[in-house]
Amino acid sequence: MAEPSSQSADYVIVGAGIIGAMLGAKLAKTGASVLLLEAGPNVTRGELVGRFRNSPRRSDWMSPYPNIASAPHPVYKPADNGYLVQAGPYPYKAEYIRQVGGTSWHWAAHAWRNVPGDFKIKTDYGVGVDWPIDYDDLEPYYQEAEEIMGVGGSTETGSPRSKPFPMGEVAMPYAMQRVRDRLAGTYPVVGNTVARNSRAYDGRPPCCGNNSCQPICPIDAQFHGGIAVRLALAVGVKLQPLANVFQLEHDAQGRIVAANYYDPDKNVHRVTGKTFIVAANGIESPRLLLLSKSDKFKNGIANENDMVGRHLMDHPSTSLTYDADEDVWLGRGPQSPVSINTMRDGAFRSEHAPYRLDFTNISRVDGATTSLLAAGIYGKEFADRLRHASAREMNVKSVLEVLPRPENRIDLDDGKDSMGLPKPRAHYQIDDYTFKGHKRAQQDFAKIAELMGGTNLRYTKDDDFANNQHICGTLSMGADRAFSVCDQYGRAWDHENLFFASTGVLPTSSTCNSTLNGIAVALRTAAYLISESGGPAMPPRGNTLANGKA
Amino acid sequence: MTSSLMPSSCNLQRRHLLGSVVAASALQFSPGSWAAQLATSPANSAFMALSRYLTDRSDFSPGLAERMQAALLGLDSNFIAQADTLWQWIQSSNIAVNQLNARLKAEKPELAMLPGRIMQAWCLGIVGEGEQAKVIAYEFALNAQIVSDKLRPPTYSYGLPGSWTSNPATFNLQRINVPA
Repeated sequence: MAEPSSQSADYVIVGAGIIGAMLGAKLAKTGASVLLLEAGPNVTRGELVGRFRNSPRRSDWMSPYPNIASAPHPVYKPADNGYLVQAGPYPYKAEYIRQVGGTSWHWAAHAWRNVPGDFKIKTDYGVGVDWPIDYDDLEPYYQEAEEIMGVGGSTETGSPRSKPFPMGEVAMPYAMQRVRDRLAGTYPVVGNTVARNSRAYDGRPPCCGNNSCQPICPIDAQFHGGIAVRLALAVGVKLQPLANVFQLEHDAQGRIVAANYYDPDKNVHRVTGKTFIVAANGIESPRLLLLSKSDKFKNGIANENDMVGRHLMDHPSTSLTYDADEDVWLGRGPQSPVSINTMRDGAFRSEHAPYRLDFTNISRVDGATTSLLAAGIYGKEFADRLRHASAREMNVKSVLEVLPRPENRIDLDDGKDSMGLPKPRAHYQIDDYTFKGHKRAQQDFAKIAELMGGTNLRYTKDDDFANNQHICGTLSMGADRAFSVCDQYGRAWDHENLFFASTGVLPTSSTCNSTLNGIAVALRTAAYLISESGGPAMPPRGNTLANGKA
Repeated sequence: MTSSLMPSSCNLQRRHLLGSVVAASALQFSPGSWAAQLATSPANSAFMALSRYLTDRSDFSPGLAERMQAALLGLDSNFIAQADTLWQWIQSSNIAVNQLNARLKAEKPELAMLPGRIMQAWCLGIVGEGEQAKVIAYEFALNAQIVSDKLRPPTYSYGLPGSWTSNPATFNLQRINVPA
């Protein structure tokens, strides 16, 4: 029985991740009341650093982020907790963090814009879907997000700009300079677009090379959801942690009237509001809609057309590990500094997936130690080989596009989680389009290793795609209400006061980490909400394409 | 998490306390398990001899050694006896470290897990597997020490912004000594 709650706001946002928090802050600055409801707990940066250093699984980036019974998230190591049920045919072992600040606590701070071609792959290449907006519709919001977060990077990545980055690039580690110099003339290697300070910015220090971006930056040199929440609170947004929202209530017209949540003791609290925004990541958001079945909406909220949870996409990766022929010593500086961006767009997209090629700068020391111990290498040989691997081992990986397929989806399992709620279930596969992109990328891996004098080549297997936790498509925006969950502003088709803000809203995955795309789309949603409630009109669209800068 | 988050000052006090107890040969106030450990203090033990043999090093922190041994005992209460047996066999059979695993597999399979366990403890700072794993060291684990002229362990700052543009072949970091 829901207790009446004193909690109510103009805008009730479910999910206090980077997107929900940045959206909430923008709305709060107009004077509106904003309440963030977050299923998980508040955890401090110091605790997270301590947990990492004391973790027996340092390469398991989820290990500093404990699972709590009142807001479980998927755990795979040391054992799978079975929370995200796998329906197959291919595993989709997504990781995400249910705590204040969300999953971007442990990211590499990649803050890419799409390239213009990403918005119209159906028209241009006959695959996937077109977005209901284009690059210039989003361009002002990319800039807005970059200035809040503190983003810098190369201007040679295929994404045109109307204004400069707010700061310069982080210094390129020696190892990455060698890659750039030795691949020059064959592949242009450029600095990544990252929300990582190259100088003090907004009260936070520049990167000092802790090389632990994933799972935690000890000094907040990189922006993340925890910082976004802090900024939101500073402008008057209210936060209710440990609020596991399990149901959206509606009236006879389909307007959302309340969000019901469980506290950790499973008491029910009812939160009312004027406008509701679901910003609870690409898995928990569709889950909430499906959990909210009623007599009127038997398929759940916003799901009359059975599109909620469908078109699940992420970025699969395959890679090549090799030993360079010179000492480069990965692990000095940030974890993910440079990439090749020339395969993000082109006529080939009608045949196979586009991709980026990421060069890692993550320290090899723990990985090499584990391998040497598993091989029973001891004594002086252990030390010599550890130094050799740490000095020479390199890795390049593909970040591949996945097309939106309706049968790839998030739905509900019959099994219940620790709060008695149906678990989320993933249906996923890697299709031939993406697989062909992977095989094409392997040709680049081979050439790159050759240019670096590579030996001891170790390719990942053809059936082994690593996941990147860029959960897209499950709340797709679109122009055609028959095949999408929301319109170009994130408004649910059948629920006038319900909006979505999530990477789940992105209708294609493109080739870049989804966070900046998700944030920019959400800031555009905020601009729309502000203009609709009597505030300033939405800013004009960008004109990078008109200027021929595409 | 299974590992201790005690600040290092607590460990220092424990070491001083244990040191003075051993010097006075007074064990009355120690619980049974501590008595067993103190009776076989790591410094001259088979565990330390094996540690030197397996790592080809002799610069171990006594404090870390105590905690390693305690954790290895916690994992298997037969650890000290097993370490004794293994070390005696290695010495009497004059086994080179790169032959050890093959000889163990053939002749003493019941002790085959021991070298890997000891190496993991020192090199990764971790004792045990899966849910039972305990973290004893991180920044002072051997693998961090072996590369400490070139790298800092993750979450420890390499240096000022841009310091990582230097050529590591010719640019060394100042080594940080493991506290006793």
